[in-house]
Amino acid sequence: MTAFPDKKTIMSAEEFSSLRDLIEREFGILLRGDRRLTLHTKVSHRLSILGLSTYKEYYDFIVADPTREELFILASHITNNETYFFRERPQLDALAEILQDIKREKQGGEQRLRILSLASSSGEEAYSLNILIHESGLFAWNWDVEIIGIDIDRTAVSKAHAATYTANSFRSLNGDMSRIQRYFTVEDGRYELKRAYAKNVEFRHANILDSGLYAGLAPVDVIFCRNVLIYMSDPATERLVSNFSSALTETGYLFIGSAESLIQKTNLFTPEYREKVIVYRKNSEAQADAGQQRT
Amino acid sequence: MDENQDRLNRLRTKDWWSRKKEIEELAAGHEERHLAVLESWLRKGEDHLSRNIAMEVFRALGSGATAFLVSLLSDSDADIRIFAANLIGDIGDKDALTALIEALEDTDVNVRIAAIEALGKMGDARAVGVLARRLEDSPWSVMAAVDALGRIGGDEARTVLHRFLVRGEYRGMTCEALERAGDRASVEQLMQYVGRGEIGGLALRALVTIAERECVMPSPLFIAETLPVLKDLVQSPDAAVRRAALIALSWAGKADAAPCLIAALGDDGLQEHAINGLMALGRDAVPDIIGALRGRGGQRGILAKILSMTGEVHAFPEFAGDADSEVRTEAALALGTVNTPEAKALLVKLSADPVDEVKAAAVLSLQLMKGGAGNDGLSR
Ligand SMILES: C[S@@+](CC[C@H](N)C(=O)[O-])C[C@H]1O[C@@H](n2cnc3c(N)ncnc32)[C@H](O)[C@@H]1O
Repeated sequence: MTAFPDKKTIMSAEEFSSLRDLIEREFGILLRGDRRLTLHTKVSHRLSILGLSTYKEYYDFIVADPTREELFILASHITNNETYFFRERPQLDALAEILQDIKREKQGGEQRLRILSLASSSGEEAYSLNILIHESGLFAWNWDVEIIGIDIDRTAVSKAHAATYTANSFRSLNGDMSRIQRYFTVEDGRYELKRAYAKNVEFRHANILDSGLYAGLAPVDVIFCRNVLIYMSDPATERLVSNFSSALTETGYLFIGSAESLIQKTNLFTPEYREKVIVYRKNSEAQADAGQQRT
Repeated sequence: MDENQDRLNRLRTKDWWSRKKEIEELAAGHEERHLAVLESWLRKGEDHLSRNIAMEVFRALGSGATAFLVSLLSDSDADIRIFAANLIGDIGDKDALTALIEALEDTDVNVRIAAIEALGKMGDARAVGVLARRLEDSPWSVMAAVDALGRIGGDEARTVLHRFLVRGEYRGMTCEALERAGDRASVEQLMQYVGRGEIGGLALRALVTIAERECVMPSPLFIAETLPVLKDLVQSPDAAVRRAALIALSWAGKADAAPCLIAALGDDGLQEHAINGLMALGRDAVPDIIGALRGRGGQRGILAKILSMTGEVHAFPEFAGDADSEVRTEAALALGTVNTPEAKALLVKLSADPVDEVKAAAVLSLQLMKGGAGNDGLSR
């Protein structure tokens, strides 16, 4: 048996807590308990690449980096990028219905539909939404449709731009090749999204906790922010939700992962129960209260 | 209506938050003169609001109300005696210890149970002897006594609980009490019950919680013997039992635990323990790690990293073209320590990888190869 250094020699408790606190402060992501081995396993290659020998040096390097690039790299190695096309189908079915309501509401107004896919990882969610909009046929003529994916992981964002996937990204389709072949060019186990279905989808490398990000994105009709709140602290969730509230139109819709909940975490949104799924809507009373407090 | 009664009556109309605030203010003034009114409210069987407010005020009064509540322990109404015992337990004033111990002889079993629970909440070790005698009472009293002993803790309570483990019908509860109160000696005691019958999972859970808390590890022999049971329990529907089983497997140092450990890498709550277990297995885990990397499963970056930490760098050429960039990064770093023409050719290829990190790792490895130095010590 090989003798491994134990976790104390790999990373001191102080080194762990300073990195953990940094990640929570900047990205809202919580590392619960003593996760030194996990952190080491996920980021030790950064030390090798940067030629550093302790986590203290690594921490100092990150905080001294004015570009914040290494900070984002650190976070991207800690998070889970798991995603696939048409994940949580019932939510997408609910969206298909909602799209009809949105179209009705916008009748005679500005023909513009904007959807955010926050924590978009490698883009499967954003492209699924685009395919859904395309299949609905509702926004085909003279509509300005825009889907924007945002993630902290640069590698994931590049993958999303490339729009080329493996079979793993289609696990929820249970081998439904007809749908795959309609939208993808399949070659040697690689599935490349046909350009026509990628053209109104864009991806950005950014932190969804950063409130400045939303000013340039509003007004947004629908926000998808799924399977990332589970990793976040309550204060970070509050910050996020307030960002969502300022970006969404008054009648906008918010989707979070089916294993996540905002109930008792915010009064900015109220749950709306649709068949099988919960969609969050802005709470007009909370907005009014906030308005009154301001005046 | 007198002013006291009036003030208390106003509490009934308030919402919970303002009531809480007023009760705090009232209690801060040591308003013992309200006791008689509060007692009458306790007696209002159907009026739950009055009764609840009375209980809130008693709790807020704290030790100021203890003597009065002790007097209620000899009330003729059993319900009042139960409320009094509950409140004394919540307040936790040790002056009431003797009165509670006397209440253990009450003719009404529910009063006895309330007194047992109150002694548990009070947490005074002087009650251990009398509680131990309650282990022969009615089943509900026994369960309450086991729980109370767990809350009180300490050497004497632990000894009683260890002995009580023989009683199969209460073993589950006893394990839970020991999970709270146990020490190193409890680990030995619990070992014999791991995997035995329905409560085997509870015994394991208690054992692992104590072992983690006390920083001890059961003997490798014990874990080796229980390995088949642990592999079963790692599939338990109870998440806490699954966690305990995985932690125990991570201590096992047995290669046939590797597949379970690898499967647990994908579970956020178990990841740290799974990595720990695989690192402890070292080279013994290599065949399973390579098998998992050849498959299509997730957690590939972590698997590659652990593989590299085992020192098995010669396995990496196979994964230099992996679809996962984290695996390629690991391959690039590992190949830098393998001085073969094949490794070099792969590194040249990886140094043109589309992912920056892979490229950087490959370039670094090529430089190291040229310089003839090995990779740095700590981080690899
Ligand atoms: C599990 S994936 C979710 C992908 C997709 N939304 C889905 O449900 O399938 C989580 C993603 O959140 C990203 N992420 C975590 N914290 C973030 C933050 N503060 N800002 C932007 N992206 C973040 C991670 O990089 C990762 O790609």
